[in-house]
Amino acid sequence: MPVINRKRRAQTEAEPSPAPTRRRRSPSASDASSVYENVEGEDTQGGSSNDQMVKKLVRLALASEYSRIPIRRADISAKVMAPNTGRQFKHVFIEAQEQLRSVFGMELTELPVKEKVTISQKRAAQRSGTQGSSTSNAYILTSTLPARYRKPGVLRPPQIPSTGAEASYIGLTSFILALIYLSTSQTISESRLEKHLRRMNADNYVLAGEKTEKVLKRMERENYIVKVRERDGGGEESVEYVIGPRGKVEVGERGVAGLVRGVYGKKDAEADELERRLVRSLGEVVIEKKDRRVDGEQGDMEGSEENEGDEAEAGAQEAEEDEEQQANGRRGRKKQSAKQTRRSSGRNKKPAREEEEDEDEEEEDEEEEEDDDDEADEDAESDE
Amino acid sequence: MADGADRQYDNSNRTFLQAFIARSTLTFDEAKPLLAAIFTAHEKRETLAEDVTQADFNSYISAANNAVSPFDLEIRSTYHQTTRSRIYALVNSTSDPITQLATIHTPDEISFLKRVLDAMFETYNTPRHEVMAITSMQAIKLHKTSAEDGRQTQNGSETQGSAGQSLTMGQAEKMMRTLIEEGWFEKSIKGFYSLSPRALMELRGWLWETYNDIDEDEGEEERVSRKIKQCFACKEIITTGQRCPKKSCPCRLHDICTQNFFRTQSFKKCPLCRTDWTGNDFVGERAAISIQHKPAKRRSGSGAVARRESPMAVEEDEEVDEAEEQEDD
Repeated sequence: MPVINRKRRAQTEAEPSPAPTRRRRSPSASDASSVYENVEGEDTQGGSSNDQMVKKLVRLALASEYSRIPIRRADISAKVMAPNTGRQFKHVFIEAQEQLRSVFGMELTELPVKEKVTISQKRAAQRSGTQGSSTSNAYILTSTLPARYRKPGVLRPPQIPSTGAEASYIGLTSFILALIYLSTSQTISESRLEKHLRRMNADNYVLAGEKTEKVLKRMERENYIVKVRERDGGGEESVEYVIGPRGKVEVGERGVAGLVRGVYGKKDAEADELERRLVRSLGEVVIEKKDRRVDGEQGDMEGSEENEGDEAEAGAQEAEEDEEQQANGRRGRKKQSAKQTRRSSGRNKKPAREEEEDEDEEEEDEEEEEDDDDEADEDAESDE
Repeated sequence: MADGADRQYDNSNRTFLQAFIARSTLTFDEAKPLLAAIFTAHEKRETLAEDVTQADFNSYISAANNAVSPFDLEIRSTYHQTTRSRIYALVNSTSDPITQLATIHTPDEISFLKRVLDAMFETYNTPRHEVMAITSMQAIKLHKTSAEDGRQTQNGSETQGSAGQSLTMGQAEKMMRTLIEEGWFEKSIKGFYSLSPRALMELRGWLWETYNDIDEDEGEEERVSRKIKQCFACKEIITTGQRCPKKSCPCRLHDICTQNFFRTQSFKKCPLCRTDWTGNDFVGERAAISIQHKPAKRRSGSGAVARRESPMAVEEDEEVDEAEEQEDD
């Protein structure tokens, strides 16, 4: 979210966060109060302090999303809530959600809890008796706009650091998430991932010339994916990637399904087959309420308003298209390097054309791998 | 299309706002295809970019502005200083610790940026040469923290950015590039970096506070310490344009503003001090171009301080010499 002053950091004195909370309340309370008339509840200080907290929470949400930091409950308490107003948390939160939805078309979505993947993690969890709390208390912003508004011509990847870089990042992220989602038990070993990336010609460097390693780290940091190291009995270390909380929320099964449809987009009978396989791999969530195939994805002039439920993600929605072509490159399988290079030159905004290109490139790459490429797709594919 | 400004705030407005947030700035021309796409989705029939009117755009801008203003966000608009296209930006109108999270840059990078800004508005903004821009060489030299080269922060206000580690020269170079991509800086053909309209909008208040020592007692007339000046005609901050040849006179005009301004005047005279307006005295990088023809004092100066002094000490009158022919109107 490029909303806010990325620069101010340089320019304002660092203030300990509670201080401004108190200071700000009085001077500016009045200007906000007209907007939220309805948040009184049982708070003693009248609506205005609540309004201030709501406003701060909204600003915090926008600011945090900017750098893809989840907002934690603790942050909200420290930065948003005035002292001794803990009881109003719920109030403030609900009202902030309301404001986010009505003004920005966004809302805070709680991240799922990180799964305990390794045996040792599971053991530790058992030992400590906490079955792992069922809530993560961490939130990210997601879009509440109906799908028909989320078109690449409308919502494009943020300009920060640059539209192209952002698009390629989101694209690659979606692609990797798709690989993981479609792998057996939704984990992928490091070596397997590497193999896929190599086929994409992205094993060393990715689109914007960044080191793949670094980009993967970033995905990890931003909770799209989680890297799991585990030592088995023999001391052999295995490294696996699983889907991270943000990946689940922003892309999720439906995002992956959209990507697959974009790549495999088929007509009629074949499409049904594809849908069936998608459901088998990803579950029923991916069933669309109404027929909206690939053409719907691209042509999308009309007919997609039935997909209002399709709110998988805030950041990735604009990437949906990118993710497709990113994905086209490989999960469309049998077409990679030539295409990937082109793609690596940073051009990633034209899903429609991609489709055609795929056709011709399909053959040329066909021969070089019959074997290793598609484990990730096996769920989607093996049913044939 | 939008039927008047008093429509309800609906999903099309929200979409517009989200798109605006993602783009950070918007001009009417950029907004046309965007709004067309939004209308197409909203009304379920296709709208062409050409059908989007200025009124549609204005109504969406004002609806968005009204909606975000309770959150201390604001849509500002300004004219580009040279092209005069009108640019809208969504800016944050209060700085607080919460919104300082909203950066993808490290504190060290921010601190470098602060040094670059200081250089733009102090080192390279002397009464004789109001360059207010910086070449990439000059910028990259600032990669070290000020502590190391003994440079003092001129305005004395310690800000969050003044601590921190040095960047490497490579990092500094990359940061400058990033700042362009992010729309904070613009780079001219001659290789000068200057603040973009977006940055000027967002930083307006801050620049004003930071670089102008406002002597409350002296009132309007005391302008000697004003590093940041306004265009006399449009009242926006000026970082490129023309100036009154009299060094002590604070009158500045954008190139484009001079056209309208002097059209109504019978003589081209400075509106403040009545000195003849030459059109050859510049603010911005053209003020620096003349310096570069001087025997390189400023280039060889070892530290920023030396650089600061040299242009003042040397040329008095001839910075104007070239670039006359650039008088574009």
